[in-house]
Amino acid sequence: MEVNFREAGKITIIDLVGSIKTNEDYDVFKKSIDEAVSKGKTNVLLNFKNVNFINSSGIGRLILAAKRISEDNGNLKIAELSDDLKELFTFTRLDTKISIFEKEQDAIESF
Amino acid sequence: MNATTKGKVLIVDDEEDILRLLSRALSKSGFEALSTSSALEALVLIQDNPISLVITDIRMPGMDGLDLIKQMQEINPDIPIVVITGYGDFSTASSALGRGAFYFLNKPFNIKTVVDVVNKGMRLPSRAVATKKAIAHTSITMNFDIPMEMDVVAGVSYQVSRAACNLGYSKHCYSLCVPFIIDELLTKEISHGLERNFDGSAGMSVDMNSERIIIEFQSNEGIFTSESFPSPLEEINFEDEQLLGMMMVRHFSNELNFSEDGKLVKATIYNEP
Repeated sequence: MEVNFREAGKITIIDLVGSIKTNEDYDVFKKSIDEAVSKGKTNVLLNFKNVNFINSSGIGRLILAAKRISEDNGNLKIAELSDDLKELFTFTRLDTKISIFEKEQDAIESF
Repeated sequence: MNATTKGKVLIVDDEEDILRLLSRALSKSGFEALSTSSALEALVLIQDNPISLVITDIRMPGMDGLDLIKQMQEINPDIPIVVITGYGDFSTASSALGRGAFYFLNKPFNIKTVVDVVNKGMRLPSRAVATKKAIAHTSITMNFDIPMEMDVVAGVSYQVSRAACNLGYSKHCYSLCVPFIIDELLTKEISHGLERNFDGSAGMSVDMNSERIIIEFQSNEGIFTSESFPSPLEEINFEDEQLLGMMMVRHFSNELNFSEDGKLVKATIYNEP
């Protein structure tokens, strides 16, 4: 997996590219969250437009990241899930734990 | 289409140099080249012209190559697509292949390679017609003897997904249901084996035809009991990744059967119309 960072005002947008299913992917993801938090950026938006797969361990890492950012009084949100991942996030009820938006702009405005 | 050309190729890239280079090379090789720096304009060209193949960059301002591929699937899913990616950008290339591209070229690319790939792409549509006819008469059996290593999971999942794709399964089946089931079952068995320093392997067999896929998984220590696969209606503890994974297996299977000793689990996925 690859990550790219963007800023939208006080919000850090992390573009995730690829899949979240191997130990290497989990490391890359964790480091991206660590990097944001270490710079005091606690409003984080994960853009999933280019993510094609995530397994249960990847979902677990998402939850941990959301928890960590929440403990720093921040917010983690998600935008632009594919239809496949939307199905996954809905039936696991992950959408009740992390705010999910169709469009990035709507997510940005919600912070 | 001009009768003297080998086909019309559309090139989409925001770099003018690339457009010029590829247009010139493809014209010299007997193709009719159209070019544009805009993915939006590319969609219009595809609708208005008999395009035989598209070469597209991925990273472009505005609509990017991945979005272009997605939109193209709505207009004409039979047009072969080649993507151009940055050097070493295999994640993006993989995403593009997953969305329907049949080849990717890393920059900087060799012009001869581009022409070879275009020639190969031109043969794909006729091959697709013949393949469709053969699918109804095809069944595939795969047997795996998987070592206790997490690194092999992605490769096994890819093999089965690819076979399902070739047999005409829906994208929902081969890109979501199949890899989830295999990834979660294998990960659970291998994790269990690693914790117990098990020095063996996990057995998995796949039997598929154009109507259904049966994935049969053997657990060395009988960990696949019905209790380990919670119903989606149950409250989920997200910190229990394994339980979450097994719930996903149940959701993505049309049928799930277990042996009483927990050593065998069989997941069946039916092809969607």
